[in-house]
Amino acid sequence: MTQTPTSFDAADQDAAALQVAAMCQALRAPGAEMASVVDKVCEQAQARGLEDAADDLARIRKACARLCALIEEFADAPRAARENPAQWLATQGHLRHDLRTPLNAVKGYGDMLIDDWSAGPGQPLQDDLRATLRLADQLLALIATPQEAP
Amino acid sequence: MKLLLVEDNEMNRDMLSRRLLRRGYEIVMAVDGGQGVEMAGSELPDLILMDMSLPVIDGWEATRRIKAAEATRHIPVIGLTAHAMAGDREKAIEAGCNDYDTKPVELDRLIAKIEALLPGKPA
Repeated sequence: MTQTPTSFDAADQDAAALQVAAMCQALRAPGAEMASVVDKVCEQAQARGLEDAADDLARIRKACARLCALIEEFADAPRAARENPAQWLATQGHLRHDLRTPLNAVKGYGDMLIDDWSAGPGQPLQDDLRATLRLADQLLALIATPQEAP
Repeated sequence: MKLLLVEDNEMNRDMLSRRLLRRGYEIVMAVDGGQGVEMAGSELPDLILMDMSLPVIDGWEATRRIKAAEATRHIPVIGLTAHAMAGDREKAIEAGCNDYDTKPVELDRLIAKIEALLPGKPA
């Protein structure tokens, strides 16, 4: 009696895990690109002596690292789902939320720095910050749209 | 204009409060729903920005309590949630929120909602 729903649930779980894995694959390249642009901004800000921005840049950098770590953690979601189904079930519900949180931080702090750097020594760094925000938007769009299972 | 921001995430709180400060708002902050209800009464802000996923008591319950109390029921509440799920808006309105927005916050959109609830009040 319970056989059918159980196997249905398992198939459902597999499909969800595959979807997450596909999403993480798609997030990987823009995520890594965003992290490297942010590294570049941090280095240039330091070189230009923009010390007021150091704390906010550190937050942006930390958020990028968090995002990349999550992407790697869930890139192999089907295996995680097989090996520890209970933990997988507990995490998958808020995975998209967890992925959005660091992007929220990148966008918010990035926006503020763009304002701060509208003039003065930070101005040449604005383009890289804008590129960072575009990548963050791209990542948010990928997270918002679950990839349909074939 | 005084806004009460109820948000448990340190980074979100820091970011949103600073962005609103730059737009000329006065900001007071609470880190959980219980403190939010308490500060709504003690600070009597012009408007409350309420994150919905909060520790101690969640944003829905905190809003219900604020709207149930004589001293605070007139204060407009904007519910904020990161889950852009169908039904979230209705759930927030049902709890007593006057409006609702999703995170990540688009600052101009949020400010338009704040201004719509407080017509004629300068930041």
